[in-house]
Amino acid sequence: MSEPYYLPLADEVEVFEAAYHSRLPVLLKGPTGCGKTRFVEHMTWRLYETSDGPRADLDVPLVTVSCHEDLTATDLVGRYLLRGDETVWQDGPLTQAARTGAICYLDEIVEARKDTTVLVHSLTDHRRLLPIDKTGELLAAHADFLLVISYNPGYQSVLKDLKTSTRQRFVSLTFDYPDSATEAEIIAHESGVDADVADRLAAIGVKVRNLREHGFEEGVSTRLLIYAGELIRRGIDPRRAAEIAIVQTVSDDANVQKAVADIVDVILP
Amino acid sequence: MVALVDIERTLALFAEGIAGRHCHLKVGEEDAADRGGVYLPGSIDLFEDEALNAAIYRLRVLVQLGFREFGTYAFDIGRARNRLPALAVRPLPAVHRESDLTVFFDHFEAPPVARSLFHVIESARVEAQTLRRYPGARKYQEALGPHREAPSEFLRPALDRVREADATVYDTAEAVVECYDVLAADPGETGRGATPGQMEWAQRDVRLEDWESELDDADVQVAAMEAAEVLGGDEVKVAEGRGEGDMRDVGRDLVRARDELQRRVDAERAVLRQHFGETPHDARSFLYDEWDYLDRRYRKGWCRLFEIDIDPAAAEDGDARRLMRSVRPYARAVRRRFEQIRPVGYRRTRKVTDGDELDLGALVDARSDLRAGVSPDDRVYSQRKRTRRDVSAAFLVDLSASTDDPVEEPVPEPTAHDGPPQNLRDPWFDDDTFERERPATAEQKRRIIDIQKEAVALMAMALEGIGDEYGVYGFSGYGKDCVEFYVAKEFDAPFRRRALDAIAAMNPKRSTRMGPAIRHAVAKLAAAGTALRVLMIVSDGFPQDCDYGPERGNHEYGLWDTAKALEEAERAGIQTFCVTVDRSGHDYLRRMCPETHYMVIAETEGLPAALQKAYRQLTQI
Repeated sequence: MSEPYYLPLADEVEVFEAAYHSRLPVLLKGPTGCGKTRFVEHMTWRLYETSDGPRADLDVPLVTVSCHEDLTATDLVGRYLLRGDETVWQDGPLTQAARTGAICYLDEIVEARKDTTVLVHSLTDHRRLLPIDKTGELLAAHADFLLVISYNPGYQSVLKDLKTSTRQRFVSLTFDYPDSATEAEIIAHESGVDADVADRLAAIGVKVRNLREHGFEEGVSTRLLIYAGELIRRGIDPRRAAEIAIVQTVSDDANVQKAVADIVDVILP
Repeated sequence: MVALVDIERTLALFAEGIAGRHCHLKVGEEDAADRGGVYLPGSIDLFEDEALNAAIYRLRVLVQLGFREFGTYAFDIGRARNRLPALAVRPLPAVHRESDLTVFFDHFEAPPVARSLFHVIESARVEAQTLRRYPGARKYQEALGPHREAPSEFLRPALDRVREADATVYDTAEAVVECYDVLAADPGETGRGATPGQMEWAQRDVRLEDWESELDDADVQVAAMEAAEVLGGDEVKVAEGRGEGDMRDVGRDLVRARDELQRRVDAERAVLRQHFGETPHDARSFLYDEWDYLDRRYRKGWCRLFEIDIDPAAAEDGDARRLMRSVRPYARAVRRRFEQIRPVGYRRTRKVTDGDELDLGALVDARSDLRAGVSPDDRVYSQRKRTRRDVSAAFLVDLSASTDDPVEEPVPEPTAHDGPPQNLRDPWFDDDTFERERPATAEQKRRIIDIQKEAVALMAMALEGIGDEYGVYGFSGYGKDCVEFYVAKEFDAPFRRRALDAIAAMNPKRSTRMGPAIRHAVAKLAAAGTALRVLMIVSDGFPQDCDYGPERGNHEYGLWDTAKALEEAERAGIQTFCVTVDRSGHDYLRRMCPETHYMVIAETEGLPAALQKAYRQLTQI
């Protein structure tokens, strides 16, 4: 596995490393598409692939679960499946990570049902245990296991806010979209466009995020700006690329789309 | 031809994206955006191509916003004097209330001449910067070329200079100093600029924002100091290596500086309010059409509606308590009545293809099927599914001045279901002090608004119980350009103490222009995305406003417009219901909406029960 590109915005790399070495669970806060997942991939690479110990040999060092509102505790822990005449137990992603010593990343944890958030409690304090009620097993987490969760405090409804009892089990790293110059650097690196185009795309990002409240609270992600850059590099006209990757993607509201298209129109040369 | 009202919605979004804050787009001659808005022509008809006319609007928005973006208002007279020795011959007032630009113009013999020059040169600079940052707009600027006035010959070198990439507002100031002598020799060149212009006011407005954030910082400092004194004065003293007396001095200075700043901010706010008018400038504004029944057509973008969040802190002391005390006797009964209707929560669904548990019954069936040689059903799991109602409701409360009228009241009698509070997280029962509150004094006459608030608060509580989404809004205003739409609770906001305080803070205001308020509530409901959408309007009289129709006092126009707005709501798939406490309501409600969609309540006290009944009928529960 090659190193996933990640441009640090502050001291988050050092903080995460320190947290990992003390096995402190980590909570990543920040809007969608600002680089949380990429950060976790990057850190997994640093902590596992470049490690001298047995960690480097782990087949799946990072288990990512994108949480959704129908995600239940069972989906994380595991379930019985039917196979021929018998039922067999199948570990869920969380159990698998705890057993093998991987990093388990629960993306957008508050989207999941409440019972799943309580599940992580015993895994995130000194006990580091995962009770599996269906099999009666009390799984002690592997020494290398770490739980990382993310959530987006801005866009989820207040009702879905993370419980304090859950939140207080984690050290928190806050992410936001990078500043315009940094974002341009990321866009240029990831998509391969030249610095000028990257600057323009980053400027579009800043302006379009000003419209966050109008039906797309997440704004336009760095990811989408990179997509636009990739299309441009493949020879698509910049305006067309921005329309496909940004204008049509951020909102379904015709007025907002038109406004975003107008912003793109004046910012691109 | 493109009219501003036709593209207002997208253009306002465009401006918000560029500026990073909401901008009111208004018809006007001014050159630069200020707190009042961005000023644009009512229509543009320069080109055959409509898209190009619309693009010229965007170009103008960019340049107007550019004055702030490219630092015109950051002009600091001290820095200008350092850079331009010619200015330093005049004394600088130590403290000045005027904007730094005004002070700059006052450095000249004829300030109006300097003002005009600055205006022309700075506009050229900002325009050039704008086109550099937004190169896509350049093609529109070029298209505009033949329609623009050429600048005077003598200004040309100065204009070329300030159009360079690194030119700042101080380069403009320098150019003004240089060109001034030429122009002052022939004052016939200028006819404008005798009084402080729009840019100077805009600069004061921006300066006020700076002061306000300084004030916030000062407040934080003072609060931190006070906390330090209370909590750990000793450690602070040791850490700072100072005596107690010093600390007190520092504290006194901080407080004094804060108070001084507070006075300055208050005075400036008052001056600016007088200049810009009462426009709630930090509220969003929306334009709505109005139905003119005389002409049988819509007046495009006729009304400007401001959406204002009610500040829960604005509730007078005890407002929320009073509200709570009045609804509490009914609370449990209402909640129970609604809760019988439909439980919310999780239910286990059996026999599904995927789920968190194996369904034993289905499993046995499948096995026996297999043994019997029959193809088994593969739906052998069970799953917990969340059940929820797909309803959102908007409550629109009339906040006209007449709701201040008192009502004859029977004292509310507690119902049989009344009992001790059970749920401590419940905002209705979260404060034991309610028990110990002094009883309402006789002289506190209940007003129509109080009953309206109680009715809405009770509904809120009932809907919390069954999990419907709902918003609570009030409306009033004065005149077509200032319809006020107050937000007490948005659909997705939780019902906590804050929402209750905001409902309690709803107060009688001015007129009743119902049409635009309904249209705005409809727009909100339309965005809610639920299957069933309900708009409930609680009012105390017919729609009226100072310019709601050609004749004041004739309510015909308002009735027609309101009826039209209700019709639009129905067309958008929204159920509407009007409840009024005006006994003569039948006369006009009958004409505004179908009979099944309104209710006139003889006794104001009956409002809460009526609202509940109507809601249950509307949502078929």
